[in-house]
Amino acid sequence: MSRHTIANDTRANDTADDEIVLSVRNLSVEFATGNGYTRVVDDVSFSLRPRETMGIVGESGSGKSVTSMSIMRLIPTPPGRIANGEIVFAGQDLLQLSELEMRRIRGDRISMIFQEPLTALNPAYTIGNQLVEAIRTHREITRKQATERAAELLDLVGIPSPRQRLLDYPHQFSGGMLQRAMIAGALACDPELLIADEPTTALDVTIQAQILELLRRVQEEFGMSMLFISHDLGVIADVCDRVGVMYAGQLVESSDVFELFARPFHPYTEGLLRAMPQHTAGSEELVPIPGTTPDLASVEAQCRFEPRCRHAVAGCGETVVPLETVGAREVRCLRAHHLELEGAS
Amino acid sequence: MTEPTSDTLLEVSGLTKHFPVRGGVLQRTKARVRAVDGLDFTVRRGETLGLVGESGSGKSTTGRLVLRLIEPTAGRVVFDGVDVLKLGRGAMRDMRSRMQMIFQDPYSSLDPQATVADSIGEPLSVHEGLRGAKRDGRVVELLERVGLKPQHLHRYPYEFSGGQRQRICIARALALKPDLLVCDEPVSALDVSIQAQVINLLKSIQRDTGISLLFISHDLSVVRHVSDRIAVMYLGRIVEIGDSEQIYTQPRHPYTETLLSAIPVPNPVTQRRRERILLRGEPPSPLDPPSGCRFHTRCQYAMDVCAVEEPVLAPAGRGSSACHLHDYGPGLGGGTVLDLEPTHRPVPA
Amino acid sequence: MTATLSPPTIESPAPRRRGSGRLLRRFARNKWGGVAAVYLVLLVLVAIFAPLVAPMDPLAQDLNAVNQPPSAAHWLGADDVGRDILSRIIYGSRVSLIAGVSSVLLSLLVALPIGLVAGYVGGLVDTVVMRLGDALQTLPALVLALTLSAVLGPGLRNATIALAIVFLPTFLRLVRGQVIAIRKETYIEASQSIGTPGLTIMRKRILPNIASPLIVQCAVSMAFALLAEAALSFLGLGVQPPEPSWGRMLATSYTYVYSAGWQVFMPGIAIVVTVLAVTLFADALRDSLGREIRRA
Repeated sequence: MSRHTIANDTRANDTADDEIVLSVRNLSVEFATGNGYTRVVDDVSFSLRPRETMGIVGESGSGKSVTSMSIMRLIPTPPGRIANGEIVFAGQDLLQLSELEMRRIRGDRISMIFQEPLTALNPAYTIGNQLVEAIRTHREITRKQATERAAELLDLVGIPSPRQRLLDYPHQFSGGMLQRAMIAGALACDPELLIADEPTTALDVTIQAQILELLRRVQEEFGMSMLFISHDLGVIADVCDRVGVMYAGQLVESSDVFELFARPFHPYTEGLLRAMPQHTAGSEELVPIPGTTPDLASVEAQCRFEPRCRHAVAGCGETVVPLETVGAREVRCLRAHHLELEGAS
Repeated sequence: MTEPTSDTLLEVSGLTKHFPVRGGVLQRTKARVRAVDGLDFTVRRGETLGLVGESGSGKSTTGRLVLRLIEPTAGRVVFDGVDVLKLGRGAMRDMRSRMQMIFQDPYSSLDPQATVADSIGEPLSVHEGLRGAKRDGRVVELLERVGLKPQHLHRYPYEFSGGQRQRICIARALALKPDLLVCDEPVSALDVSIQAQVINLLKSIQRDTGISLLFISHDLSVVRHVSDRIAVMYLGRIVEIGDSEQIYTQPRHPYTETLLSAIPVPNPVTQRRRERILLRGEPPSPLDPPSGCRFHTRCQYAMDVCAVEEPVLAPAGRGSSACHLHDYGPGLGGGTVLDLEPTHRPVPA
Repeated sequence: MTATLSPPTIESPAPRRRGSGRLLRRFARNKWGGVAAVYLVLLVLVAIFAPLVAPMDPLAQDLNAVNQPPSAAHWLGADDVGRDILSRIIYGSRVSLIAGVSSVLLSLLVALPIGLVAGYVGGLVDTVVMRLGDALQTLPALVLALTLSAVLGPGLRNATIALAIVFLPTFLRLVRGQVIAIRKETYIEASQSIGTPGLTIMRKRILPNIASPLIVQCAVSMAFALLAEAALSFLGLGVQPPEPSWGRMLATSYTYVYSAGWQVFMPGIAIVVTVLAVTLFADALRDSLGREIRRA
């Protein structure tokens, strides 16, 4: 691996704006707590190009789900509020849109699938009913045409005998089938962007493998961009082109997926990789990250990972660390230039 | 099956649990969920047996049956020479001090209204009648053993993170110095970085005390790290049991091979080069498991015999596997399924 | 297809101990709950110290003051035999509080152990207990209270017992339902795996965790008991004359509702305000306890 030099002037993604599907700029989200507001997403910026899959990886409380919910404008307000930033999709700032305008984009041009498909579906209506509704919300077609389309979609996501399954209620579907149905619903209006928030976390590994395969396939067929939220570096390695790593509300590193795994720039990324059981052979001791994630209500402006960092030196805990561009990558670490971190084995 | 020796702590044979499904006005039994269907395995002293399977495999039920938290439909559980299922109320209570459990969800496994001292002290007051300062003294020792601090003694569960709660649960389970610890998905609810902390803690405790672990998990890559041997379950049965490294690197059963291939490797280069086995369809219902080999409906190597005759666990390598591939068809004869040439892979029906 | 998002759990630096202080602060945030609490405390003090607080003897008849409207001598007026209404309301608060508190306590005393066992053990015990409870609940509460009082005979004690029986199925159902919910928590299974005896589990693990909904139900029932006692006394089944009770006062004065309306309104206002206070208090209590319990 060659030594990276800082290139302050060259933004790697200096592609024209019209080539960018989604651009999140300086997004900060806060939630009301007992004493004032707590910032759970802090100054997050990233962008997505056409047909690209960007992964956001982080542990619980890292702010990855809140980030994706903000893009859909699904943050409950109050207690939540978007304190700062822009979310530019197809040339317009989603945060400036009225609720009505946003509703036209949601489910049509941007779709989302969730970790628990059962809670996202209404138990009182059939799968077919809900798919037809989803389609007819955005497309002026007849019920019959919509039903036809719904059956096609179920077939597309690999649900056998789709016409009969349209008449089933959500509880008659297994977890894997439900997630397929959710994906069918998300694809209904041929979206430009699909946000997948931990779509396989609640599933068994063999079913997870099926769903990941499906997502990869439909992304290609529909030519959409995908924002893939996960806590699992294995899943990220499987499906993503680029990755952003979040820790305690901040993006600490973003990079091409191969480069990130080959040589992480941020010690937290390295720590996550080393902590994976697959990293360690046989019956050797696993390598945990010591300590626990900080309490967001009391984090300071300096490096939030410093207390758990094995590379921390005097000074790490004192200064504000900006997100810095290094070639085509970004990293939030004072020592990024001096560290040779360990990549995936 | 290994013969019980003096080295054997737990011997389970023919363990079966069928849950009745009731319905209708009279609450009659309409059907039976065959959650666990005839398990045989042993756990040696100081050993960790990993129990792996997906949801519906019966692995969690197995853990509860071993501890007699639910009564089996049939079978025997012999713990240190004593038939646990024949014990009366009092003797069973005494026996409980020797076999303990930790649970998946560290949030619901601690009483929100009880302090750490009350929770960890519960086994001490129930079995040793300890109270007050004496009890708290022991609790402090346990807290320190699991990496918490004495000043945590009078705090409530909501003040702790998931990983810390799981440490509290481990301390509670260790209070009576049991011989067997059943761990039911103990790290599944935890973040990766914390997962490794808890696993290392369990292993260091095992090194110090020689405790045996029955480690239940859906995650084969985690299980590999803690287990000496692994049993793989599918729909209430053990399909393969054997040496941990062997299961991980040279599986003898197609289902084990599938499970392994499904775990994504955190390295895009290797992950995208791997050959993946995508299982067909969904797992069958344990209400009505398939005839013959229960895996035959989804198995890429399924042969005619598989639908008819149920395979039995037979020795294969350093372990046993219940699969017809070893005697019929390609005749693996105990070798790993990874050796099967693609030509041997019959076209899926 | 939309979903709701719950705010992320944020671990705040928690105080060392869960004191009653936080509970109080949270309670105080609800303005009306606070007002209600103050009123109830005052009411209890008034009932206890009735002889010191009341300006006159509640039974003393002043024939010069018969049906007198509120005046300097009788602040709230006097009734048909010239007794001071303010003093009678003050003494009457004792009856209301005793009937309210003791009927609820009595009911709880019976329902708690039975509900705990029914919920914890389940099976046949549970079925039998719950069917009996259902049978009691087929009659409307007040009708049942009336019937029972009529059978048991008049008097404060019997009225209290009748009310306790009326409350029984509600408490049983509540206790049992809560126990069944808590039973599913893993910490109960953990206690069982430790070998903790069932009775100890019920006492130390289940009881504290069902306490808050029970406390709230107690307050709600107490409000009902206040009304019911008034109704029973009004119908002559509760407190017997000449003992003052709010319901009794309503009963004797309603004939004068057009000529001497204040005689009806004064005890009526006392009943309404007290029931309102208890209800507001129960509301505030539920809100503050609710957040206290289910933080995780």
